[in-house]
Amino acid sequence: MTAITCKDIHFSYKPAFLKRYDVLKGLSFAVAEGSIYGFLGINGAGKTTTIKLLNNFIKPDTGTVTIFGLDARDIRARSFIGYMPENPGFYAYLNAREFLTFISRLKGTDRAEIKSSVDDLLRLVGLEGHADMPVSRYSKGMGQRLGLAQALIGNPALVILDEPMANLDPIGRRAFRDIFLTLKEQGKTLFFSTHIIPDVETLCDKVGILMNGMIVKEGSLDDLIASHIEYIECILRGREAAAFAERYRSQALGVTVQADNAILRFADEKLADAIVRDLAGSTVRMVSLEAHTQSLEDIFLHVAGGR
Amino acid sequence: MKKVSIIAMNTLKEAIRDRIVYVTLFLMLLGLLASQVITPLTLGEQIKVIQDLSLAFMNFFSVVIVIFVGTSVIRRELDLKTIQLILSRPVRRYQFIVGKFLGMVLLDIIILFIMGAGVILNILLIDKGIYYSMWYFHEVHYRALITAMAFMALQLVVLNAISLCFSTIASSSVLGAIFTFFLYMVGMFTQDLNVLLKMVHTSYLTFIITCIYYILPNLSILDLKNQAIYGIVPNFNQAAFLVLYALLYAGFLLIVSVLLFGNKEIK
Ligand SMILES: Nc1ncnc2c1ncn2[C@@H]1O[C@H](COP(=O)(O)OP(=O)(O)OP(=O)(O)O)[C@@H](O)[C@H]1O
Ligand SMILES: [Mg+2]
Repeated sequence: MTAITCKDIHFSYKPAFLKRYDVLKGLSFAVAEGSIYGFLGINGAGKTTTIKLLNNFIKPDTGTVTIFGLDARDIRARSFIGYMPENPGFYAYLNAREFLTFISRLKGTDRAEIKSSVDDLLRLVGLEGHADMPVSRYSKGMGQRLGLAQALIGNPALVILDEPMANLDPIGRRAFRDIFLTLKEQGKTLFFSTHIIPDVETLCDKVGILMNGMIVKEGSLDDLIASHIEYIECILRGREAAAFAERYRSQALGVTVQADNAILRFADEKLADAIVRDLAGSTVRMVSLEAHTQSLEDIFLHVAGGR
Repeated sequence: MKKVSIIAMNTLKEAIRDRIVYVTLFLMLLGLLASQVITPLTLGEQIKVIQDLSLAFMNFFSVVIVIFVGTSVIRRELDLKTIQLILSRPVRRYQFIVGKFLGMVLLDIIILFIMGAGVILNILLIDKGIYYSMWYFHEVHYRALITAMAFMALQLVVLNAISLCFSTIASSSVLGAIFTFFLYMVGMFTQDLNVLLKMVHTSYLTFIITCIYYILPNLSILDLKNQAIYGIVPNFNQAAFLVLYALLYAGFLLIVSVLLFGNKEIK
């Protein structure tokens, strides 16, 4: 079953006295159950707006949003979701433990289970030492951790996170990544928005790039990267390396010779096979053969730049 | 109903951890102490003056608490975005609004109990206490006093509903507080529109004034302070009418709030 589907969503903000502002213009995507989906887009692309639609905070002008097959407006859809807002705000008058208890009760967790599950969550996000401190004294990163803890209350099948890694130090980032991978192992579905590309690269099964109110590029990481092989680089070593490399100059993008080393760059994968075959009868050795793909960052910048 | 009560209890918790409640109660205490000093100077009128002052303080300070707490109770959730953490759970929007409202009503009851106890004690000190003197012309009607306090609670419930309604519309809690206070002041004079009605003789003016009369909250009819001092207690029919009026008015505003909030974009 698909965890999230958005079909042809149009949405515009209609501020009083101001011109209406179209944010989403035909957004469609689907998130498979049990996968991690990275939702990329520049500032103001409409990531947060999309997430608000998933939570039924706002309603689409046209189009449908479903959560595990239920319309997002259906109250039952809410019980599948754990949601972490960007820059989450908390009640200044509650400490972390009281807050998590309050949300657990709203979520309908058994009273008997609440205490131990709250303790577990605090430990999971590394706030066990600050559980009784007023949340008003929390640093941003601590708020982020509490934000994740409250999203995981009640063991939701779908966790939606709006820029979860913002404000985190490298250790926190690492900890979050481990938590996300554990959740995936447990069969949970994760959907998160971000600008931080390394997080997407190491985590996501699928990424979608949001631009001009639509998904302009979507695919598994491998697909996105494979469709963007820039060149293949082959490093040869030996006294005859330079002469060997020269033979391919006409088919190559470039040949660089440096003492006994020659570097060959070419775009065609088939050329690699030919080179390997030719090497068999020569004294030249191949030191490395590497495909240089565009990184997701390049792809993202490419798409973002060409709007 | 369970969700509503969880939200109501959290709202109450927020209110009683708010400094404003204690500051106001403290100011009220100062007021009562001052009345103990002033009253003996009003020879022969002590009983009337102490009741007047105590009830006026009680009314004023409870209204202050209700306006401040009542207008921030929704607004703060929206401003801090904590509302997102609630409405992303299986909680319906009307449950949120009704929970907030009931939390405020609980707060009303608690502060009126505390203030009421203070007022009764304050009056007892004069009535039965050290200043007891034989030339008192008045007596204290405790039953009427407590009845007046109960109707004060109803007045606060209506005010809660007004502030709730404004805080779902207004874009800042200060604005909400100003509107609520304004409507409270107007509400205290709504009954006087009757006087105006007797003076105008044009039919369309009469119609407009009658409409306004019925739309505006008629808070002064719930104000039984003066009657209480003279020991006048509303009979059953009058009391039933007042209770019904207050509950219907508050209920109507609650429904309006729920409808407004149901379509609100949560940002
Ligand atoms: N409440 C609102 N009223 C009017 N316009 C809004 C509102 N919220 C957002 N917008 C506009 O909608 C667009 C999308 O905003 P959104 O917050 O969804 O972007 P985002 O992708 O989450 O950006 P960021 O990376 O900065 O968080 C922005 O141009 C913003 O100006
Ligand atoms: Mg955003």
